[in-house]
Amino acid sequence: MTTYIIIGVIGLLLVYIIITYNAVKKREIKVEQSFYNIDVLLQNRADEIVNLVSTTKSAVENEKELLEEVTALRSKVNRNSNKKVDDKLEDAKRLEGSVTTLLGRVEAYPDIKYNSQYNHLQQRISNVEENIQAQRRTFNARVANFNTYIVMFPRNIIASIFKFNKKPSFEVTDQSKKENINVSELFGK
Amino acid sequence: MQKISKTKEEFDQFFDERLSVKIEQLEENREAVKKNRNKQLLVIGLVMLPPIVLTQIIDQYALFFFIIAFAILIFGVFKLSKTYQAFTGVMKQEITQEIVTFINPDFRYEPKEYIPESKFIDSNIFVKKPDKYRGDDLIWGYVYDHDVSNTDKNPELVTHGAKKENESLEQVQKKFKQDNGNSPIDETPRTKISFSEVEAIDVQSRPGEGSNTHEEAIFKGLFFDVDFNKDFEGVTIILPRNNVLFDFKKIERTLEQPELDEIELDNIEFSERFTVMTSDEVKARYILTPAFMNKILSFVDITKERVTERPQNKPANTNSSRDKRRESRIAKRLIPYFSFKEGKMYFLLNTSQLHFEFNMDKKPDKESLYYDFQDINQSLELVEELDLNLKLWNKS
Repeated sequence: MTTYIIIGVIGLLLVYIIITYNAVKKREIKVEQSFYNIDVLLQNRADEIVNLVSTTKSAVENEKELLEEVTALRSKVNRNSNKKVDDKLEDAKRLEGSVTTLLGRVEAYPDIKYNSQYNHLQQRISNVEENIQAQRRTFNARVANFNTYIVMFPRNIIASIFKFNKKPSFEVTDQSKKENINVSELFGK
Repeated sequence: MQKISKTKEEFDQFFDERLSVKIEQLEENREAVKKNRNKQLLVIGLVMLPPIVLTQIIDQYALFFFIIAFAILIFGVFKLSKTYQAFTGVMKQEITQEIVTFINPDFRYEPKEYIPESKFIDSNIFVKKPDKYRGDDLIWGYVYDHDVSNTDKNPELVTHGAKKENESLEQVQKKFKQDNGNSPIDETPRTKISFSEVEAIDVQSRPGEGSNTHEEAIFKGLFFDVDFNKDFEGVTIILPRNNVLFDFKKIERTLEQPELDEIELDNIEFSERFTVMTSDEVKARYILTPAFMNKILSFVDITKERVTERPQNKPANTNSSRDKRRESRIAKRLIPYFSFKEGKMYFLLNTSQLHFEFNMDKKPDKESLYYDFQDINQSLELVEELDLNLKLWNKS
């Protein structure tokens, strides 16, 4: 009888471990998915910036240095595929800063200001930017969900056995706090 | 940003200068209709009296006379309702139409039309399809982006769709139906708004009582259908949070709408007050940015405060516990719902009361018409407060 009870308890314990492991793994995969989605969006934004630079290039020749800086930062975003998302975000943030400066200076060039292709690119970049914000918030929500799940007793024991560690969330920087790039400001509307 | 909604001061000025004149012109008509109604009441009473008396005198034909009295009553109620409809029809065409045009010349008003049931169902807010659906007072039109640079560039496009002087009601209704199906191609940045009073009813049969049924309003209030300023796919709905131990409505929703999952958002106050259900959590966050959530909170607070402040909702003595309970009941009845679906935003405000109605016994005054003004102006405040007309980059 005792043997059966022990086998039963071990069996239940195993079932619990399997269920918990799968639940943690499911949450971890969701976090990773968000990671990849952000990465794709950052890449999209970098690509749109290249288009933006080539559109403005001829019209704003005086801003050669700034254009080069934007191009260099964009290449950095493109090349650093092995970097962590945090680092990628840092590079993307710097790139965004340079682009904002570039757009500010574009104001002085009326020819480009009313260029429909340029305006269209602006819209696309802003749209990607909003999607990045949404994806980043989703990522943080999923990380919070994962972290809360693995610290609860007795799941924390199973999590430590299988080496599931708490994941860092994206810190909200001044840049990312910004809801939208203010096009009205950029275009002096 | 240019202010598109109107202020109380603007309404006061409009009332003093234009509306009061119109009311005076209609006063003679109201008095005549009132006299006619009183006459009808007297005639109905007099005609009903003999059969009622006869039911008491001749016992064996009591049922027969009772049926006659009842038939007269039904006929009388029908006649009275026709009189009232004719009266409100005139008042709505003359007064409400005037307020609508004052608020936005690009708005059109159809007293007998309403937001179709398909849109009500499309909002996904209510799990159950209503058994009865009715409404009236449809107001629809556009809010244009009157940005200076835009009008400079396209001055010819800022020609609005206001009802023309010679346009017939049929032509307007036809246009509304056409616009609902295929919006005309117009490059001017604009936001389409339509809203009306709507009542959705669930007919329930009482168990064990045969064919005995009773009606329960699922929703009674104002239904707004507005173009959202971002393109998105999927559904996201915002419902007031129901803090009960066993939320049966939530269980029912989970069973009926398995594609919608509840998500937690990063605004604590918003999450405490609302439940957000979505088919795509990333898209939900794309729509519900932190700033947008704050705007919704503030808009809902202002709207609730405004409606509860109205005399019919405000108890005379707020100190008594009975009146406080009544006030709390009214506040509870006032429920805001939001739904975002395929680039559209639906805002439903359950007020549990009638809007845009006229009292035959009372001359319309500034206060009563101000509430109608508020209800219409609210649509523009919705666009303004939530920045729905800023389609600078996301919406084609």
